[in-house]
Amino acid sequence: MKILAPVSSIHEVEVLTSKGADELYCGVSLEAWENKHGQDVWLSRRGPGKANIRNLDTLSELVDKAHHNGAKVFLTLNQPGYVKELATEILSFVQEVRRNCVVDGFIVADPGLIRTLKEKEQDTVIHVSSLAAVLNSSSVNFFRKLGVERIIFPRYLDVNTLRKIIAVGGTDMEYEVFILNDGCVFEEGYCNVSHAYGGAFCHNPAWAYKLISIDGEEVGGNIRKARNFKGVEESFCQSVDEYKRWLWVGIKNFGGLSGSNGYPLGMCGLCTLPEYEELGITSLKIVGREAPFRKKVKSVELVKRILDYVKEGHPPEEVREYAKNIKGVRGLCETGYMCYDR
Amino acid sequence: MEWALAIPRLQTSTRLKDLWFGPKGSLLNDLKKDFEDRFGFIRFTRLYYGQEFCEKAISGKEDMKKALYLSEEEGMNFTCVTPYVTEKGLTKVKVLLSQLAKERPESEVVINDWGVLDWIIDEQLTFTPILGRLLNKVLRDPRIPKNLMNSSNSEKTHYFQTSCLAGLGMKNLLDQYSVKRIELDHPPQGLDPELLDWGYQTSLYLPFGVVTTGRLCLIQSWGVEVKDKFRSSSRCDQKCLPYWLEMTDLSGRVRKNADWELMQKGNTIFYRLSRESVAKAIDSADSTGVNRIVFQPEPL
Repeated sequence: MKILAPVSSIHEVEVLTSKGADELYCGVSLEAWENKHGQDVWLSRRGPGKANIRNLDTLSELVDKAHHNGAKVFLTLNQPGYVKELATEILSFVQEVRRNCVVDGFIVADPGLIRTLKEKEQDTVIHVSSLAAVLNSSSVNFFRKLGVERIIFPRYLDVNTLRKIIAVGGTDMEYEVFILNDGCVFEEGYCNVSHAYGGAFCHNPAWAYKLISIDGEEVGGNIRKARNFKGVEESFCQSVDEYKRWLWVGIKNFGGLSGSNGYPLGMCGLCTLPEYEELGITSLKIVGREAPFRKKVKSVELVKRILDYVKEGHPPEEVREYAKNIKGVRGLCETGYMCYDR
Repeated sequence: MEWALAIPRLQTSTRLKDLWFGPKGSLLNDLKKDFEDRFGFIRFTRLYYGQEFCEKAISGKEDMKKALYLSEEEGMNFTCVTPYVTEKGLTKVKVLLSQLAKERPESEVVINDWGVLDWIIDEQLTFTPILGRLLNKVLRDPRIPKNLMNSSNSEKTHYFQTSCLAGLGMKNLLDQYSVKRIELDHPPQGLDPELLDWGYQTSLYLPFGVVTTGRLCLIQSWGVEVKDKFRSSSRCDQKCLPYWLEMTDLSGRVRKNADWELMQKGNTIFYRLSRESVAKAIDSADSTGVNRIVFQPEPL
């Protein structure tokens, strides 16, 4: 299995590859694009700012350096859909990128764009973004017919589901899973908001919930008083408190803190590495193009350590113990709130 | 204009006619009055039946048979609605649609997952595929700046009103899959005045629009052990059926708005349009060539 790391600067390439990243992915936000479209029409899922590379010359240098170090580079064009008015510009952008450098593939979610790229730039390698929400084997088939090379599975597909999808979807396709950093409360591919308007809609606002019965009446916090659900002891308010705890631990990465060994907290699939190996997963994605460089480095280092341990042939339970020890936050791990496999 | 009545499950359908008669003073009741003032007697000629959002709540074969019977009894055409699905949900959808193919092969099927669309075509089923509103990526963000809302002259507003479905690449792809109709919400920024140019027949859902949906569910996790909370694989006892969650942002980032209310039901956040907004949406549907209203008293 390969380690896929986020990169947003040429200066990050050397260290990330030396620490064990086999593949890199990045985004581009061109000044000309921003001038033309403003700050809320994004070329990829991450907006202008530190997540992206600013021009194609830098991208070209970055790709050369990565190739020199034996790593591939994939470029994100992963908005869930691009409107008609942008289609020509996006195609020209891809053609310009390909004239400037040998990017190894494009990460795309919009099936219409995939179809266009495969038609106009036939040898373009396409990885289907998690934003396309490939959740089942028929969906793998749908994208296979479009000629894609890799499926990036969305978060929170458990091992059994992945096993079934791959069994039917076929082992000739490459598959990628999320391995570290950043969760989403909802299914990212079916989320109709833009982070341009205040970040994640699901957890950035301070949501308060009022429980309303179907008949329109406000209900108290105790579900048993409201309706006879057997065995439910937890009040609704307690449940919301626990939800907010999960948001903090799993989705908001414990406020961006690190564990005692300096490794990042938040969503993680390290305990599932033995199963991913057995399933023939091609690549392990570390999230966070916009993350601080140190976090990217520590993330690659962490995944590499556990992956090496897997390769030594340790049984799955030993791998899980090792991963928890290395991550250094056993208590948090035991809650399960940081697991992608959910 | 064709009028369709959408019900996600059968419980509601036992009082199909009552759905059109909410309590006095309720939004439902007000909408009925407004619609009838404008259009006269509303006759629903199509039943939308099924789950758009949650694979755990996909109907069984027997319930679907009852829904089919009900639509027949009421003289309504039948549209089966399907959600996005993991492998488990895909199996359920296959069972359901295989049954539907035997009972009513000329039915419409609303599809919210590319895999389901692909399977229907692969199996050469004779349904009419409809592209569901979850595969239509028009932004539906309640935080969208005011200057982008309903100013039909602005190029930027138009950008946010249109969709990838209008592009040639997607149009060709959907032609290949025989998709002629697409489903829409009425987004905060309004419908695209050039909707007809997209090249599809269009349906507009009222009064709920979808902000976001997912497989981890707040209300499903209520009362379950910590180890089973916020897990897509956990069992669900459908606590979402009797409850809504009214949402307020204490940080003030998402301001209260007279045009809609934010609500969560089960795994999905919706905006429910106000009476006045529904009226505007109908105006807009009229002027943009929408030829079907999907009235959905409860979305999930």
